[in-house]
Amino acid sequence: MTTVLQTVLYPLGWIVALLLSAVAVWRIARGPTTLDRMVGLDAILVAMVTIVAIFSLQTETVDFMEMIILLAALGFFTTVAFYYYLAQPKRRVNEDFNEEQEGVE
Amino acid sequence: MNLWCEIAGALCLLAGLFFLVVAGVGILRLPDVYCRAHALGKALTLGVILLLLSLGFLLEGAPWWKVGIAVSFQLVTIPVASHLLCLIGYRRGITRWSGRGWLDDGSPGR
Repeated sequence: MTTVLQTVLYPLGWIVALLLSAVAVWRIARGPTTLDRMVGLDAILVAMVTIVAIFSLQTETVDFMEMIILLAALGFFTTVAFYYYLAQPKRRVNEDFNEEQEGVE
Repeated sequence: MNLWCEIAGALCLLAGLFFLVVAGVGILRLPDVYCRAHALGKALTLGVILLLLSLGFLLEGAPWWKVGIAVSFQLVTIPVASHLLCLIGYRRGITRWSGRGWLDDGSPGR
């Protein structure tokens, strides 16, 4: 069972984490609005949590649980900060909301 | 560490990786920012929770209260972030997508 874990599941975990971060980077580079880029940032943070979890599974240490908790708190605070920045009532000029949306009007 | 702990941890790890792949496909392929936030808030949260449960099962001497704190933090923060994304998108009037095309109904910014 341990050999199955070490030979199959942990490399699968690395592959999934790399795929998720690649998808998130693609969404950040491509995303039409700013909110899509925020979705990509959250997905990158969850990919970081995945990488830390798989790493601590492979090296069999329990020293990284606080790092996982801190990563969750960091993602929440960055999202709330972006929300308070973007929720300002005055509409600024040259903002890139609603650009590149096909089929609108 | 007995065998049943390893089997439960392996199943949790496999299910968590599956849901992370589902969330990645959703972030890649869904047409709208609301749909992408929905994929972020549901599938990604479930995948990360299952992954942390497998961490608690598989690691020898991992304290369960730290696993519980990490799971509850993820369970609190990621859906709240998804709801904030949807709320600010609705307030700024980003148009929605339905099966028939792009909708424009009643969002106040437009």
